[in-house]
Amino acid sequence: MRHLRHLACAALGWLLLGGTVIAQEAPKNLSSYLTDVNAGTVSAGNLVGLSESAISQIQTSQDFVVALKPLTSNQSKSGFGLALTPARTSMMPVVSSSDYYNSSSSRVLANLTFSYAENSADIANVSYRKSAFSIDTYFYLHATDDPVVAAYDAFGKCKGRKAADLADSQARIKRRAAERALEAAKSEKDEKEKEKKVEKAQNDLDGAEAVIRQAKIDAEAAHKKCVDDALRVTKWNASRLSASFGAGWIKPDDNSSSRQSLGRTTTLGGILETGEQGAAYLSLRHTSQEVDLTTLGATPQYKSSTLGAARYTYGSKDDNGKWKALIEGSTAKKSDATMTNRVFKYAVGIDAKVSKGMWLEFRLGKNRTLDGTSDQTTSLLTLNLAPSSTLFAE
Amino acid sequence: MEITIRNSPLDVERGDTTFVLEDQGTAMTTLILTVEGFPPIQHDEPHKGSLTKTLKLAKGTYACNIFIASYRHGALGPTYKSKVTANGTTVATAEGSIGKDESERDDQEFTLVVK
Repeated sequence: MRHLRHLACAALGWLLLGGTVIAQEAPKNLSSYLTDVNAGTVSAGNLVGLSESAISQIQTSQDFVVALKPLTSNQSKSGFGLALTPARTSMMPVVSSSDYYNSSSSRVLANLTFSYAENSADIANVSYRKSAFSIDTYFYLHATDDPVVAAYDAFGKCKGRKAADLADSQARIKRRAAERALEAAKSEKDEKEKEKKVEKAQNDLDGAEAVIRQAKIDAEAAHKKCVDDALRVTKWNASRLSASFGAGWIKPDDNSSSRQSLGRTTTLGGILETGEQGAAYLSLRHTSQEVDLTTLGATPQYKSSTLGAARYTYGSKDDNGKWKALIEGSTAKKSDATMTNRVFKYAVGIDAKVSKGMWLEFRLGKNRTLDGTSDQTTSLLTLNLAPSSTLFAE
Repeated sequence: MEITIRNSPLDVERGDTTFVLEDQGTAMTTLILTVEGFPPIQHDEPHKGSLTKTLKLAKGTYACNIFIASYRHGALGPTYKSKVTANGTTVATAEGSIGKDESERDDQEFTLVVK
């Protein structure tokens, strides 16, 4: 029931956030900037064991992500995570187009993402609830790889849209001239001459109106095609850097003791494009004040640790990496019974794009048991939703 | 969208008249300035910065038209904040947010008097 309640909260949060966007009459094509080339990322999920991967997936330009973990095991029950990038919603458009285009610091600000995640686990026969938040940002090493920059470029270079807008502007000048001519013709004293001049002015006016109406239709269609075409070729494996700060807590479900820190985590990550279909992910995560999970029932002990990890991903050519196979490894230590060191020591996996905005992630790997006594083989399946990618799809 | 015209008719000295077209909004915006007797000045890339164009105007009165179109295409916001100046004096502004449509557009006239 509790898990259902949490899932209901997640759904409610989505509806409220989505509702806010809808209430502000969000763009019909809000999804146009939302590249759907990777599963959306809920960074806080890394702190509560939602992903169990040592690699923090770098955000793509999705504005709102829900991660659900429908399949459970004894030690890691169902959890969920939410991520929101305010500047990508119409709620907080903080960066102008020129700032975004010209300034890498503005792009870092615009890509700031807030996330929250919860998960539960049984440790020494006690049920615990874990929660965490995280703040992340990233930027593309080559600005032209950024989908938003690519979209602005496509707009500026769109010949069809430019021609239609120019035709619109010139037709409006003709319309004003025709309106003036019509007024002047109406005050003509010679009836025959008046009729002739009114008819000509009216024809000019009608002609201009027709051009203006058609130009708007043509300009909007050309604009949409130009930008959509540019976004379609956005690379899923474009090189980028990321930074993240998060904190998490754990407490017994029955509130029999106070909550303990799961640590304060700083993560630096990067993706390096390796050929057309490959990407190398690197991640360095430092965690301080992280409780030793084996001491939860007694006097809690805290540790600090640094975790390095690498992943290689190979994406299919179809639909810009619809299928992805990956292999990863980390420096997780068997001796440390902390959440940080519970991530996969090594794993293989597959990501599959089920439909627009929906990704299924499967992982199989070796990690440490929660009590730190041995290694275990863990498989997990995560359904990852970026609902706004589909919510505003046309 | 509603373009507001300021300082029209605007008196300028004979010779070089410098026009600056810019937009500081979040939407994708194009500005087209047409000065009577000259080819239109079209600025399609306000995201890269402002466009400056100088025309050599002889003595006389010039009818000018400013056309602005703003397009909504994404999550960085639907706002436009456009401005056109002639020799440093603001002649046209438009500020707001695109509503339901995919694009919003307007045009207005102003007059330049070259002495």
